[in-house]
Amino acid sequence: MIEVKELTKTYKVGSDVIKAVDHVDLEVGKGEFISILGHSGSGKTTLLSLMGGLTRPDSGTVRIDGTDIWAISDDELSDLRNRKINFIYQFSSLVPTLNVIENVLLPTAFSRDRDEGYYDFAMELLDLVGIREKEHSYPAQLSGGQQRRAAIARAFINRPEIILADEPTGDLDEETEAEIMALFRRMNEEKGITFVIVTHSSDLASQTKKRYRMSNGVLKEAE
Amino acid sequence: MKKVFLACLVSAIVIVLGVSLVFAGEASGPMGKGVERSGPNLKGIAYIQGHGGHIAVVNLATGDVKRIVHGKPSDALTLSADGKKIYAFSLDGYAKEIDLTTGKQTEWVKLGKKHCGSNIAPDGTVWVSDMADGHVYVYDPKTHKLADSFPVAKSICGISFSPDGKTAYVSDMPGGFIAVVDVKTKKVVSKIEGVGNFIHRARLRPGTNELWQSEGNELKGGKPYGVGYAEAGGAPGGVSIVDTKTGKVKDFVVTGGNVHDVDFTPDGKYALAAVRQVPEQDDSGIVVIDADTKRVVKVYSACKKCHGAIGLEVPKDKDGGRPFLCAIQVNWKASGFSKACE
Amino acid sequence: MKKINLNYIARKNIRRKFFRSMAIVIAVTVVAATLFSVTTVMDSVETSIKKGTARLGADIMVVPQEAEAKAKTALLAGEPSTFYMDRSIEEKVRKVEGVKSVASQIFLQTAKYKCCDVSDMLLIGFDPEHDFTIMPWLSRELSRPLGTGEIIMGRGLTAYDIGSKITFYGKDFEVVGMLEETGMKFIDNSVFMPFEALEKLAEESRHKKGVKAADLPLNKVSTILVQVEPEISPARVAIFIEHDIPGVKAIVSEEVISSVRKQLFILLRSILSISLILWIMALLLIGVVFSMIVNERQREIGLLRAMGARKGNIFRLIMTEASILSIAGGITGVAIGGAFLYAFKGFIRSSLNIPYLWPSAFEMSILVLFCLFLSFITGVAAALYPAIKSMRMEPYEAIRRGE
Repeated sequence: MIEVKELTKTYKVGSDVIKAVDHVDLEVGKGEFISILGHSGSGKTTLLSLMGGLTRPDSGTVRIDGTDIWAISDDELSDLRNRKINFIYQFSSLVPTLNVIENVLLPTAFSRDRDEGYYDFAMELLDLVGIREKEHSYPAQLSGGQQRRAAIARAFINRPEIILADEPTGDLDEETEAEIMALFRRMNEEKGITFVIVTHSSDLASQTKKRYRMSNGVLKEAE
Repeated sequence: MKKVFLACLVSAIVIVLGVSLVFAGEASGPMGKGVERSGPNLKGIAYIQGHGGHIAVVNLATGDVKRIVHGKPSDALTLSADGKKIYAFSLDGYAKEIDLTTGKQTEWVKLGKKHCGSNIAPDGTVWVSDMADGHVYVYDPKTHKLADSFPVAKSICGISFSPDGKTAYVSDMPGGFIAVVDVKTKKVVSKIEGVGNFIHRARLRPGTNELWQSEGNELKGGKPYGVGYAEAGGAPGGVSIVDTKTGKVKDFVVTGGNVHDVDFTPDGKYALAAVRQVPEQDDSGIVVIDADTKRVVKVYSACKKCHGAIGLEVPKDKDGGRPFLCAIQVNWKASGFSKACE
Repeated sequence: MKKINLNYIARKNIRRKFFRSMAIVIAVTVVAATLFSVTTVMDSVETSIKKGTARLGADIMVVPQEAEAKAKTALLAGEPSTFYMDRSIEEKVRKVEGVKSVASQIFLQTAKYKCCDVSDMLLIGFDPEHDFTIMPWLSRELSRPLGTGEIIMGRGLTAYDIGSKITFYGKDFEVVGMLEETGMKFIDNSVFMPFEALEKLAEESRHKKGVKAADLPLNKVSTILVQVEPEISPARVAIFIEHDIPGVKAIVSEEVISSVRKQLFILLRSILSISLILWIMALLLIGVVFSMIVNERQREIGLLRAMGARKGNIFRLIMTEASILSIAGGITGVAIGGAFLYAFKGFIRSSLNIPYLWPSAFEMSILVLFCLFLSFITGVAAALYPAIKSMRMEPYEAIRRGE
C-alpha cells in the first residue's frame, strides 16, 4: 500500500539545517491502522505530508500501490490524492464561505468521475459523524467538535483508501475523541481504509494496532 | 576766376568718380569677396536655396556672395527656362516666384507639405517633390497654382527629366533608390536601388546618361538621419553616378561633407556640388568637380563669408547652429547680381 | 442541491468579502462606462459622417472659394447658410479630367419669413436630371418625378411625414418623400425640391402681398457635387478643378471625414487619457486586491490542493473570481455609460456640433462586446500574477504558512 524508503527532508532555519525527516523507512499495508507518536517538532507532520504528496522530499521514495508519487506529474499526483488519499488536520480545515454539506462535497469538485450519488453519500457521512442536522450551517456557526466532525465526513467523501490524520482529536474533549476514534476503527474494519495517525498523545497511540515513535526525524517501531 | 573754379570742380568730380570706381572694384558689396584663384574660370551666377529663409547667390567669376530673402526655410529652387525667375518651394509646403529682373516676389501659394526638390517638366510645369508624403506636386507657373499631385514613394527629393522628356528620375531619400516615373502616365515604372544611404537632389550630366546623385551620407547609428552635418555619422558624403541606361551605379565621387545637390556647366565638363560642411572648413559651399577626372578642382564659400561679414548668426537649436544650403542651380548666361539680391 | 464546482466556490468567495468585491466592480464599472461612452460617441460621429458623405454621394463638393468655411460648417454642423456662384461653372466642372458626373444644388434659407412658416431650414433646389444624391435615397421609393408643389424632406424634421403639408414663402407644398436619417443636420433638416420649383417659388414670392420676397439670385448655384472616375483619386480631381476653374474650392469628402476624426480625437483626447489612467488604476487595484486574497487564502488553497485540486483548478478558481467581478463591472459600466449617453443625447449632439447618429443595433452590440471583452481582459490581466503565484505554491508550504 504505502512504501516509504530512505525518505529525507531538511529545512534551513537561518544558517542551521534541520533534518525534519531523516532516512525514514516505513511500510504500511492495506487496511492497517498505525500511529506515529512524537513530540512537536519531531518531524511527524512533515513525514505525513511527504507520504501524502504535499511536499517534495530531498531524497528517498514514497510509493503508493507501487506508484512512485514523486516521479509522476503534478496533475497526476493531484488526481491520485483526490482518488486515494485524504487528510484530517489538527486545525479547522473547513472553507468558511461554504456550508457544511458544501464543505463535505468539496473534494468532489476536483474529481474526474461523474458520480451523481455524492449528495446522498455526504448525508450518510454526516449522519455517521452525528451532525446531519447541521447540513446548512456555516463553519462559524459550529463548535470545534462539530467542525472536526464535518472535516472527517469530508475526508471520506471520495471513498479514499488512505486517511492521513494529523492530531485529529488535538483540541477535543475526551468524549469526542473516543467517538472519533471509534468511527475511525469502524471505517477501518468495515471499509478496509488504511489509517496513519500522527499524534503526540501516547494514549491515542495506544489505541492503534501498530505504533511507531518519531524523534528528531528518525522513525522507530515502538514496542 | 570763373574758369578756374569750373576746372577745379570738374577735376574734383573726376577724381571722386575715379576713386569710387577703383574702390568699387575692390569691394563690390557688403558681403565681402574673394575667390579661389586656382581651378577653371567659371562665369555664371549660382543660386543656392537655404534654410534661413533666403537664397545664397554666388558670382562664380568673382566669388562674391549676396542673398535673396524670401522668408521661408526652404530646400528646393528651380530657375525658369529663360533664367528670369526663380521658383522657390518651402519646407512647409508653399511655392513662390521671384522675378530676377524686377526683384518682385509673388505671395506664397500652398502646394504640399514639405518640399525637397524641383525641376521643370517637359510641359512647362514644375514638378515639386514632397519628403513628407512622397507625392510629386505639380506647380503651374502660368496660373501660379497647384495643377496635379500623384504619389511616387515614401520621402522623395531629387527630380530629373531625361532629355527626351519621357522619363523622370525621382530620388527617395531614406530608401536610397531612384524611382523611374513615366512622365505621361505619372506612374512609377521601375526603381534603381542601392544608390546611397540618404540621398538628396540629382541631375543628369549634359550629353551623357549619367545621373549624378548627391549622397549626404547623413547617418545616426547607421540609419538615415536627415540632420545635415550637425549630427551626421561622420561618413564622408559624395556623389553617386548612376547610368540611367543600365540602371546601375557606376561610380562614386567622394567630396567629403554632406552633398545635397549637383549642377553642371553647360558642356558637362564640371560638376558643381552644393556641400554642407566642406571638409577642413566650417562652412557650406560649392565644390567644383572635374566630371571626367572626378577630382575636386575648386571650392567656393557660400555661407560663412556672408554670415560672418554681416554677422548673421544661426541659433544653436536650429540646424546645429550652422547655415544650411540645399538645392543649387547656376544661370550660366548671367554675369552680374540681379536686382532681387541684397 | 447543486453540484459543487469551481464557479460555485468562486461566487461564494466573492460574496465573502462583499465590499472588497464591490470596490473592484466599481473600478471596472468606471472604466467600462467611460470607455463605452467615448467609443460610442466616436463611433456615432464617424458613422454619421460616413453615412452622410456617402449619402451626399459626392466625392467632391465644389463651392465658391470664399465660402469654404461656410460650406464646411453647413455640411458638418448643419447651420443653414447660403452662398452662390455662377451656374456656368457646372459645365466647366463637367469638363475637368477625371470627373464622371456632376449635379448642382442651390440653397435658400427659410428663416427670414414671418409666422407659421417653418423657420431656420434650408431649402435645397436640385437638378432632377443629373441628381445622384437625393432621389436614390428615399426611404420609400417614389417611382415618378416630383410634381409641382411636391417636396422631399430629411428625417430630422420629425414633425412631418409623407403626406404632410408645409408652407414656404406663402406657397403650400406636400411632402412626398423622406430621406433616410444620416445624423447630419445638413441632410436631415433640409427640404429638397427641383431647381425650377425653387425658382418659381422665389419668383412668385416677389409678387405676393404680405409675403417676404425670397432672396434667390438667378442663374446661380450653391454647390456642385462631383463623382469622379473610379481610376482616379478624388484628391487629384479636386486639384484639377481648382487649377482649371478660378474662384472655386473643391472640398474632398474623404478629407472632411478625416478632419472631423482628427477634430473629434482632439476633443476627446483628455477623456481618453483619463480613461487610460482609470484603466491602469483599475488594473493596479485588482492586482493588489487579488494578491491580498491569495495571501489570505494560502491555507485554503493548500487544503484544496491536498483534496486533489490540480494547479489548473486553483488558477481557474482565482481567474473565475476575477472574471466574474470584471464582467459584472463591465456590464454595469456599459449600462451606466449607455444610460448616460441616452440621457445626454441632445446635449452631446449640440455640444459636439458635429454630425451624430446613434449606431445601429449591430454596431452597438459590437461596441458592447468590445467593452465587455476589455473589462474581462482587465480583470484577467490584473489577477494573472496572483493566480500564477497561488498555483505555484507547494500545498504543504501553503498550509503551514497559512497557519
